[in-house]
Amino acid sequence: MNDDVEIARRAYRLVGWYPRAWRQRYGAEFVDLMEQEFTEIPHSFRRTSNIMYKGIVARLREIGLVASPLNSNDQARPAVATTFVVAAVFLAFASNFWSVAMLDWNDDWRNPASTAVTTWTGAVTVLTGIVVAIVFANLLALLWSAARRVVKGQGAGIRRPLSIALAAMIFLGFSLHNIFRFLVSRGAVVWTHPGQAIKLIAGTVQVTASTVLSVWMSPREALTVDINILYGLIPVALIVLAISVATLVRRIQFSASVTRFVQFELLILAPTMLLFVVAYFGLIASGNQVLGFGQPLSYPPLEVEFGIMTLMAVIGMQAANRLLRNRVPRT
Amino acid sequence: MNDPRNPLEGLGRNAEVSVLILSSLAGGPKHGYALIKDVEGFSGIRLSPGTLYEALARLEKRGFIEALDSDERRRPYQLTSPGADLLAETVTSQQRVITTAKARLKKGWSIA
Repeated sequence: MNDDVEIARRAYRLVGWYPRAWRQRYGAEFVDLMEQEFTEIPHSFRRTSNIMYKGIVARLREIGLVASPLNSNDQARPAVATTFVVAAVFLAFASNFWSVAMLDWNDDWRNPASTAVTTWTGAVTVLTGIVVAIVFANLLALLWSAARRVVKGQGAGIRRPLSIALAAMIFLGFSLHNIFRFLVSRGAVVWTHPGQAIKLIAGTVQVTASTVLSVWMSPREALTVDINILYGLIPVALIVLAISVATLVRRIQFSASVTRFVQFELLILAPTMLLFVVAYFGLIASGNQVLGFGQPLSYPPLEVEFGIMTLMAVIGMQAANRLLRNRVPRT
Repeated sequence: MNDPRNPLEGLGRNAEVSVLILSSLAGGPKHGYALIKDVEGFSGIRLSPGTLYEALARLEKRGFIEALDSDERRRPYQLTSPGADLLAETVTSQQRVITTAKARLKKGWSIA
């Protein structure tokens, strides 16, 4: 093959790591630069990895997951993206911790839980509830912004991810409704006894998580039960939802009110996650054996889950701090 | 909070790369590859293309450099007036550090 053609092909391949908007602006000159680079230094691992890394960063920056000091006028996108990702990852583990703590609380009526355990379990419950509310509020804010764009006739590039996101949400709602109905069929949720009702929800969370895991670990046996198909498709629906949400975040211009709303959410989310981490230690300190580190039967290990949650809390605090520093005053 | 003593505040982690680019463009407009060669010539640092274009995009968005029209694929960049001011401020600020460091090395360590 002709050397020039091969060099051009390699250059175009590397530029492909960057997002489309970046390529439209800088692509041609970058390819030209790469062709000259290849002529002088044909192969360089450092150069290739640098371009791949910067390309990925540019893509993350485009959807707002990496802070850019330049876009202080476009603060909604980073706030929405950060809040979504951080809250969703945190929630995946926090719901597990919460459900274990909740099921362990007052497990034996002959030995009622101490005041300390009850207080910390209550704190973890409230904080988990706040994170759930933030995830849903953020999702609604995003869908609201997308729907408004569509209604105003500015829906190019938005209709498809919006439809997919809505379909994934409907499926998740339908699945959870059915799973919940299936699990509580032997005894309805009695809201006059909130402690028991919340325990039932915690049990549902635990059973759902463990069934989803078992379906994916050994599908042949698990899928002999009809309802397990719903369990098995939940992660798929979540991934589809995440991708369509990421696409929407990238393509939507947020209104001033939505911007203020998601910024407010981010400022609440960050301390909530930190308080959750503190409450977790409170639970262990007050004598909870199930959530202590070093549990041999926990998978993934509690230490790993806890580490990820702490990381999310730190990222959330950093994002909130950045937001406070760069906040554009309301005019 | 912005630090008024640091003119490079807001240029991100690659502020040093930005100074190298601004210094190179102070000598006249250059395109990407010419910038890499010039910077390598006066500083001994060879910029990777990814790092160079990340910094170029950042400087262009902040108005410190601008792209010149070009019919060819290679597009030259030139320093703007705010870019020249930023470079002057940076040089003055770094000069203060150098002067202080030199004086202290001479006094305490008999070096320089």
